[in-house]
Amino acid sequence: MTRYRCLVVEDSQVMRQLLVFALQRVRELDVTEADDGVDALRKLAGNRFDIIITDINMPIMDGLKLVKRIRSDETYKDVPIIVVTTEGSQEDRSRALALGANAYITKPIQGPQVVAKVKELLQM
Amino acid sequence: MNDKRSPDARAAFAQEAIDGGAFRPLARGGEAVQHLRQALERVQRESVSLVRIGASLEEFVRQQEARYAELEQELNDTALLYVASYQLQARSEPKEVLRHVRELLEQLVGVESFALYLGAVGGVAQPIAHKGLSEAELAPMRTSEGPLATVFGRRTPLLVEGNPLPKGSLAEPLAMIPLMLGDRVIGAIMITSLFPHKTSWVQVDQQLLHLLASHAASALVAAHLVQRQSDLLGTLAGLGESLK
Repeated sequence: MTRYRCLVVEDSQVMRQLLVFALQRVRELDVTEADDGVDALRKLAGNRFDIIITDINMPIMDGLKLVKRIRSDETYKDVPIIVVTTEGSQEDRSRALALGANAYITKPIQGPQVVAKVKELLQM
Repeated sequence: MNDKRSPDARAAFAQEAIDGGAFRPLARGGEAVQHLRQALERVQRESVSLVRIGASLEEFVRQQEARYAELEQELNDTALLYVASYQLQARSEPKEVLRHVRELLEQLVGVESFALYLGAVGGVAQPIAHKGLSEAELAPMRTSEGPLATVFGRRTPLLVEGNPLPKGSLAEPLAMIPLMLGDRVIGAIMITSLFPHKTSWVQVDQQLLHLLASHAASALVAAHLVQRQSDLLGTLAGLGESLK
């Protein structure tokens, strides 16, 4: 069985815990958590991840800056990124996708919806 | 062809040929066709039956998939309620509790603007937390008037229905959640708008708002008491004594 590593970047404990609950239901997935963009970059540097799920509105480094940084890194230039945010506006969606995110999910999220998107992007 | 034999001789020859099995292959051919026909009919019957079984299997798979999706949704909703409850009760400072109430409303329900009113000293409740509303909009409210009177009297969450939901305000909120401490109402959350992409309530919203109604006030009061208590261990010792 192929195993995949997923990084969840979210400053809200509530949201992070909920995302981790949903993703841990996928047996092939190992989930790592990060509090914000800087924490995520630290974890990305020392590990290899197959998919990244990130919030947009975060302190220290927001999700859009994180997507930009990830895409400029040769190691992660093709890794699927899902952006999760409270904003439902087309503008935010466009910005995230233009920076290189592969998919966009708006809060309040539904666990099955996130899992389906992860499976789709990882072709599981 | 000129057969010079007499008719009797020809008949005798034919009879001899029949008796000797000269026409058996033809007869067997006829049986084979008959068998083939029967086999074909059997296969056709089986094929119809298989198509029926296939259709019922597809229906079964569809039902199982729908049930699976339903269970996944229920599991998601249960996880959501667990996380909400866990995060609320895990706080030991009132500000943290309020931050989590705000997070739960924003992240899990999709609330764009709300105000939380607390206390009813002299029949007036004060706004102690809010989001998406200007200071000018927020003012102390009498618990005997307007929407607070409704929620203090009703004691259960009240959600306006509609899809899309109408525009709300503090005078006409989209949802009013009483903050219950035991059977007393000590405040209320007034939700005035949801995010634009969220046009109606979903089932778990009601459950979550009921959870807030029954847990938020006790979490807030408990955090307040813990924060004010300089000798927590001494208090716990007293608690132990009172339970004996």
